Amino acid sequence: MINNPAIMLYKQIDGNLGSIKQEVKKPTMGLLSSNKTSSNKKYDENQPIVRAMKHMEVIRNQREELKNG
Amino acid sequence: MDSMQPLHDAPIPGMSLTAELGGRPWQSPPQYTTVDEAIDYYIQRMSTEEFSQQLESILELGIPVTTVANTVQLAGVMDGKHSVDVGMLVMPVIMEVMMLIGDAADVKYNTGLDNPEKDLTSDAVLAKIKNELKNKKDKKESTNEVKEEEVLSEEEPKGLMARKK
Repeated sequence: MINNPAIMLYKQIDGNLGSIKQEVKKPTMGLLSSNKTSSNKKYDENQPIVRAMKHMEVIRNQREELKNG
Repeated sequence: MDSMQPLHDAPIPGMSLTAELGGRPWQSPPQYTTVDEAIDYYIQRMSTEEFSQQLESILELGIPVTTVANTVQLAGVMDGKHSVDVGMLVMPVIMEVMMLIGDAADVKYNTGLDNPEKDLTSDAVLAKIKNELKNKKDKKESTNEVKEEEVLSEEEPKGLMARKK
């Protein structure tokens, strides 16, 4: 079907999937360590699209695990 | 010429207004209002053995995952499970789960993402079906004509007053 929105939606989310992966930061200690939380996050985790992306990421990881054995 | 023919399976204008307002499931508030709830619902449904088997057989037939996912979420909207918006957001997740089921069952499936035109039924296939139907119809008509002719030729006047050849 040409008007199937699934194609566009999947590609859109798939393209942005890498960008929501949080960078793993080493916990720093000391008085001068930055104490910033989620103020500079690009995506708000409460947004529905981000929730969907998170779910998709988990399932994608499972698929990749299955493929790679 | 084909475009001149009327579409008999299309809804009649105003047909949607024939039912009582709120009588249809999609006219009442949806059961699952958030993406998380809708995803939980679908994952629970799709994790059953019955669904997996049905999905595997559908994917083996070559029906694209995009088409199946769209149908599944549309059915959810029609059942009043979630809104159209939530359905749109959930659809890629449904696709991902379906692909996971396909991978787990080692089924070669068509994602429907590579070439959207592939999703369409080709004109050649349609022409072939059309020809087959036409041939069947012609055969049926010709056999009916032959039968009628046979019946007509077999009918000979009987009785005392019948003419003798």
